[in-house]
Amino acid sequence: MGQELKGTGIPQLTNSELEKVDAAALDPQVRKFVDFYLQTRVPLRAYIYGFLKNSEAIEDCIQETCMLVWNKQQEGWTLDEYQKFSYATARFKALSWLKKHQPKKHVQLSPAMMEKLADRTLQVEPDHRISILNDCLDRLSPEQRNILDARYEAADSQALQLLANSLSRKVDSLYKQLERLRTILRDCVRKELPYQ
Amino acid sequence: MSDRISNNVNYQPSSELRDLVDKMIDDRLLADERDSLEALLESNSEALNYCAERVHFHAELEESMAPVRVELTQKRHVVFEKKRGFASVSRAMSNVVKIENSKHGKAVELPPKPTTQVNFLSYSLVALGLMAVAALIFQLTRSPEPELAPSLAPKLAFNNASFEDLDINEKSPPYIFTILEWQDYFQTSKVKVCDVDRATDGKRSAKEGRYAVIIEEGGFLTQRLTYDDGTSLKARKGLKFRISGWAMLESTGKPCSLSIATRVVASAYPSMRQVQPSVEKITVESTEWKKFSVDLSLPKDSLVMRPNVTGAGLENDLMDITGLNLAISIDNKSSVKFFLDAMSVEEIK
Repeated sequence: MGQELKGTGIPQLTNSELEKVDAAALDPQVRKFVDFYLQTRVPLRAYIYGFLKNSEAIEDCIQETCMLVWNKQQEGWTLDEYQKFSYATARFKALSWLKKHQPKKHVQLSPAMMEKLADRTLQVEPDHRISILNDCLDRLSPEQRNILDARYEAADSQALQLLANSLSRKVDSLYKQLERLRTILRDCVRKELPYQ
Repeated sequence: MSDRISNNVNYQPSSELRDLVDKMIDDRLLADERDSLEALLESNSEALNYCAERVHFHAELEESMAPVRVELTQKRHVVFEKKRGFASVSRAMSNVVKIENSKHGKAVELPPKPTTQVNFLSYSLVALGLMAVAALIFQLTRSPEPELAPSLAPKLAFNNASFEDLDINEKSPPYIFTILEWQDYFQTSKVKVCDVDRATDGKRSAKEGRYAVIIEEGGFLTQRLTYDDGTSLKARKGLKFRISGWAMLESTGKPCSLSIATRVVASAYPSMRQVQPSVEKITVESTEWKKFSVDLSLPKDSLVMRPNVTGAGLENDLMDITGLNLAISIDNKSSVKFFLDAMSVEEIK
């Protein structure tokens, strides 16, 4: 495997690996689009997070944005152009979702603050650290990993509540632990040292 | 994006800010906590940076832990057709990209951008192997072109004419706001693709397939016109074509007026410049599907026209639209919602 595709944790295929794949499946335009898509997922997700908190809605928004960008892409686009168009589209999609669903039980930030936060996420220095993050995740204890898995990996939105029930703990205490885990992982990545 | 947020290790967020930001991330904020968080973010730029950085890290965690799946498929199409003794073979190749949604697993397929290679081969029915003889006969008799040729001329066609190109998840609401091919130049949230059967509890169905679009007041569809070989239709003097489709009101009551127009969009919002060479209006009065058809044409004498919409600060100079891409726009100018389905377009002489 070759170098990591920037910020994705996904290794780029080497030329010899590429030769094994049917060349026609690697239409340069398609391949470029997929590369850009993978490199844009994290900042795009963070940006959409300024507006939406519902994980399914965010994922739908990413998918729909991708569809639209695919249809509107211009030949010769740079990553920067691709991303600018993606953010503009995602903003529109997210606002449409909010307008359509008008989530009442969730308390949203004010529209002005949503925009501000979304724009500010785009200024976060992309330091391409997912591979480091994966190393840090591997160092967590099984109990800690279970909490993260329940929050991030499980398809069931009630997974954290179910875990709390099985551990006879309050879900609030798991959320508090989740907050600490994020900080631990963040510090681990910052230092680029394995978590101990 | 000039002022990047780098990792400011010197900034120590208060425990209140840490708590509130993570509650926001986990969608657990209460109303008074939301107010406190907004006040903190409003008053302190470092707090906003911390929040943005935390949200970004949360996105990385989610991205790292949830599966990401992009599937590339190569499709090859070979089509054999036979008509009046002549056979044609066309070949096409396309790359299809599927993007999977990690939350519900459903993948959407990005419509192929075909790298088409089309070869047409004609054979006589009687002596398929005797092409030379056929050519000789052709030369001697000076017969007209084989009838196959006209049928292979590219035809005008709408893309995603029946709004079926994107599936709506059965577990989701029966609407989606992504309308493939019909939001060229501009986007609106006042049009949505609708699973008619589910949305009306089985009382109605789409005219073709499962889906139709529903257009609210002020909503519109816009599509650049193309031939079925993918080439664009360019504005030219005297061009005529017919737009047809099916429409029905969402509910009984007032009729709905919609306009169907040809457009040339020289530049989009906010520096917008748009010419509208022709427009027709139709009225939708029924809650049953009714067919409509309108003919639109471009002037025979001159295509130098004044834009009907010009962005603020731009000159409203005359424009020659000859050779520019032509689009169709369907606008709901009334306050009544209506369904639209099974659209078609044909060039007329």
